[in-house]
Amino acid sequence: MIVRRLIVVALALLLAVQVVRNAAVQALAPLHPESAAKFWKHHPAVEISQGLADIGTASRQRSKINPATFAMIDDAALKSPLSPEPFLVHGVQLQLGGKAEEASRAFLAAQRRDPRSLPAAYFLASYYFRAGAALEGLKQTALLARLSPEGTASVAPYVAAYAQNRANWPQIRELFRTQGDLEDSVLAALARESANTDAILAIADARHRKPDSVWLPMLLDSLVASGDYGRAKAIWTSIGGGHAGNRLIYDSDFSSADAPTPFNWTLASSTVGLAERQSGNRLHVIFYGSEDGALATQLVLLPPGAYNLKAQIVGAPTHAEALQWTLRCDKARDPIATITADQAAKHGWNFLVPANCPAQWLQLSGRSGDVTQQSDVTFAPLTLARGAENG
Amino acid sequence: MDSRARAAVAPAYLFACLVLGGSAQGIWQIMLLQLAGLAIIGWAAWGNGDAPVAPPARQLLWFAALGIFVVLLQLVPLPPGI
Repeated sequence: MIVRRLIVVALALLLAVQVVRNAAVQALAPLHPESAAKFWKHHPAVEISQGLADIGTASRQRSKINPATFAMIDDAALKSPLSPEPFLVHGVQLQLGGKAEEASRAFLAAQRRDPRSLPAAYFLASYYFRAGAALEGLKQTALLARLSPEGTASVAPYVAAYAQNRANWPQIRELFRTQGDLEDSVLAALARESANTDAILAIADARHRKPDSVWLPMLLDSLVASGDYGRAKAIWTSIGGGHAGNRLIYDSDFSSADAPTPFNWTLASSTVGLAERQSGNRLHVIFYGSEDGALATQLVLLPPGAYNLKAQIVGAPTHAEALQWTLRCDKARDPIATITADQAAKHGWNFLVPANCPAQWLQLSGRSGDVTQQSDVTFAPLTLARGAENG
Repeated sequence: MDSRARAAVAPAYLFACLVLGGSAQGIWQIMLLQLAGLAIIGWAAWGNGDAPVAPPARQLLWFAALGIFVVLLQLVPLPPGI
């Protein structure tokens, strides 16, 4: 019994020492391989960290890497066959020796051992792009993006640049089948240029072709900025779900917040004031009176001619005269017509759209006076019709 | 030791494994679990081993032995062709 207990104590103490040494090495090896080596010199984690540090130092000094370093990493590979690092080192060695295909096999072996290995994904992406296997390269790039902090946002512009070429659209579509997050970022990057409209419409799948898609308002803004109003409106209708019918203003009865801007209302919630749709087809506007600014804005496409807007005020408004309706041609500085909200409510608003004005910003804004006064006004549905009327 | 406390050791250790283990980042927690595991094995081996092993415990021991055998089998190096 005593002998057995002595053996138990001796074995337990021996194993406990190994457990503590192993933990110390695991904790120290990644950043302080020399300190870790004091605990367990030939532990594979120490050999790998020490070897990588030596390779890094030699590369920085542009000197030849000591063959003993590679031997140490090979030894670590035998002791720890599931570690990806020795395969990465071996792959880089092969790559430098011009054996690209064998190197890729080593990188794949590293990736099998650690699917979250950033260097493996990087080297494989590089190999596939050089070998002309674009889809595989893109998959590795997407993996790289997912594994890096802020990686998707960093990689998206490069994938977007690749997607601009019509010949690459099939590969991009294939990539997006498995990389939904990357698709959002790539489409958003493409949407910054109106010239990419065809590419976006070709590669965006059904899940990313919705009124609340991130890229949609960006593309609409780009198209409006480039003056392609007709295409912007068509995309807004087909994907944004905006159907104005035969009305000249979308959501003139303040009931539909679903379609995106700019062909729907942009309502303010800022230091200028607050504008919000209310039940019963109302637009409730509060203007704080201390700062000028827009409260409700919409881009409309009115053909040249005379128009009349009826903008009735309901309830008991306060200081409606501080609010004004303006119509301004897109990209022009000055409005083509202006009227205060109380006058428009009383007499209607007649205005003329000139011939060289294909798109107009209809805006309700607040103008502050010498004394700060808060305005609180509720509008009934708007009615915009062609032809002037007598007020 | 009270038999109730003795019966609680294994479940308590399993609970500690669930709470502290499972992450490669938790190096020191894993070390603590390994040391605790060693202490439990040592404590089990310390006591009187003459007591008969109950049939269910014997079956469990066979399963454990099988598990250790599988681990040992995986340590046998095989030619790359296989």
